[in-house]
Amino acid sequence: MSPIDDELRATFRSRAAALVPSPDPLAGIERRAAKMRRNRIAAAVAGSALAVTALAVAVPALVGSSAAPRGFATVAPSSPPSSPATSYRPPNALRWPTVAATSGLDGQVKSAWAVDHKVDPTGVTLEVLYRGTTGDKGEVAAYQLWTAALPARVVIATSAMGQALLLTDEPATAASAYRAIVPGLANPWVVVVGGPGIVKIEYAENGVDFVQQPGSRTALFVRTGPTSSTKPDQVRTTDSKGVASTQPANPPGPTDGAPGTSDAEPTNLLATWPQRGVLADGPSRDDVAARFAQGMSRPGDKALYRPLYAGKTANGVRYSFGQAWFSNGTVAYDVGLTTGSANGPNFFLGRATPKDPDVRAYLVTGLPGATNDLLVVIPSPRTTQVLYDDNATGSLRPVNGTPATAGVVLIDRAFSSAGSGSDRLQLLTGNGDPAKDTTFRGSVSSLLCGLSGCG
Amino acid sequence: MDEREREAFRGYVAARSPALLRTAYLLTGNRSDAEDLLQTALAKTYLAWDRIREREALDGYVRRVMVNTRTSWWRRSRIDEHPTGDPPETAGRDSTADVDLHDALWTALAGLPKRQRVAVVLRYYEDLSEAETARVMGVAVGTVKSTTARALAKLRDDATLADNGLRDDPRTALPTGVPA
Repeated sequence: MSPIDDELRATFRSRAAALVPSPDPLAGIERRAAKMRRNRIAAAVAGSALAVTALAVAVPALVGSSAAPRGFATVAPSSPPSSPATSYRPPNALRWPTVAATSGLDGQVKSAWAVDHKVDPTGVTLEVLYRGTTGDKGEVAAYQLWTAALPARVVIATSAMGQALLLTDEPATAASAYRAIVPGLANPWVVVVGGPGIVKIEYAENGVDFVQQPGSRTALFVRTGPTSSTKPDQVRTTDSKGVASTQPANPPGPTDGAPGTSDAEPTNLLATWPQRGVLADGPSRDDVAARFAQGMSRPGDKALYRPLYAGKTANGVRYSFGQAWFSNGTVAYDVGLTTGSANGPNFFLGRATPKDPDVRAYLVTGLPGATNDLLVVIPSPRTTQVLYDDNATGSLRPVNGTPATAGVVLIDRAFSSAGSGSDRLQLLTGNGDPAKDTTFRGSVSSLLCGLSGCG
Repeated sequence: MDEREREAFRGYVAARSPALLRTAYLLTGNRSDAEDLLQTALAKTYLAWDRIREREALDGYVRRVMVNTRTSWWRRSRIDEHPTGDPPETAGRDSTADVDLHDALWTALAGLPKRQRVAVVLRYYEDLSEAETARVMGVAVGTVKSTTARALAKLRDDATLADNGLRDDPRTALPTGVPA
């Protein structure tokens, strides 16, 4: 007589061994992947139409309240979920009351998250787990996002600095407490959002003396001093079994990953791309790096900047575009800085640079007396031809760079093109056969995505 | 996906799809569903390939996609399912006692609820720990324990298996305290 687990193993082995695999399944997999991609897009288009209808009738409920702790107003959770794009719910999605009210931040977060994860934003399902607002610091919210192919992740985001910033992006697990530093005009704040398994949240600014924010699974604490990662403040959470966990209040950035060595380069650094233009004409590297650190709410941390192109216009506007990263980070971001424009210094904080992209682009705006913006197109070194069409109905025509710009293309971009988002680019390699050698063909606006949107 | 990554994906499929097909077969109980399930899971993996950083953990990722996809199919189809007295696939008998038992066990497995079958396949074919099984299924470890225990109890109570000598094995007794 055999135990049932031994018999199960034997049965499974014998049944599995009798199975003869099909030869070359790859073609079928690729066909199915293409079909799934088409279906996702079709479903997302239908879903977005529904979402627009819902937004039209929704009343934004993001009004400050004196009852909220320390100046923050919160919107009480309610059910059902705010905007499920599909009925699919990944197994790891948190079973939580969600906030029904919508906000402009939601869409910005969805778009930025989709870019970070290289997915179609219209296929992203977003649930609002928590939302708080202040009069002067904007909004802070915690979200749960997923797609049909990506398990749920929890994001804390804020519009505190006038643009959407994704502060954290972590897998959704019930036992986790999600924490982030929210930048503020005076003091930053620590926001802690406990998962369903968390019953108590405490904070110690000196790392020792913990205080508790009573009566909520979400807690907000004032954090004085610089938002450096070296600050000793700690967050302690306790789960329903009484097990306490203490962690630094300042978590890693959204895609920084674990700190590496100080000399390590980000994996997406475009180290093989030449630095083009006249670097001395652009703003200083230190200035760009400092603004990057400020924009990422980590002004106390060491940031680095590598320009990809820098120059100066005839009317004295200086600009530089490249990649910035933290010395202990593994991810570089697209950044740009324009100084001397009619609008004053203009810092562009983009998203994590894709790995091995075909092209990057930067828009220099506010040129004094000009009716156009300056579009800087920085093709990958393997590009042999760049074509541009200033509106969707025209034809793409060559606009290759000059020896002086080392292949970088400077385009006077009409406001009308920018406003309608209709201008497009095509990049070719090799012999420039559009049928075989196209590496990029798409709208310019899709290349100009910052953390707060594309345009 | 660029050509280099496509080559990497192709290599992974060539190396691992036979083993993954076996898992899919045990999850679904029949070959055509298994091929469909594996192709879907690998197509999803293909779409997510550039985002998957831990390539050494790919098997776990694909297994998880298979389990999720299987669950999703089941949820979609269950309103149309009409249980009958006969399991969907019956196996022929062999002259040896062991094969009789394996056939009976295979038939009984086909009658298990989908989640119980998944738990049993992951635990006893893939030899995953309870924690690993929980991660793949996206449930708590306690749920894995109770689901597996219920599956074993159901198998133990199967009359055909009892006739083949499994019912009275003391080692198949359920642990005490497992919720029914």
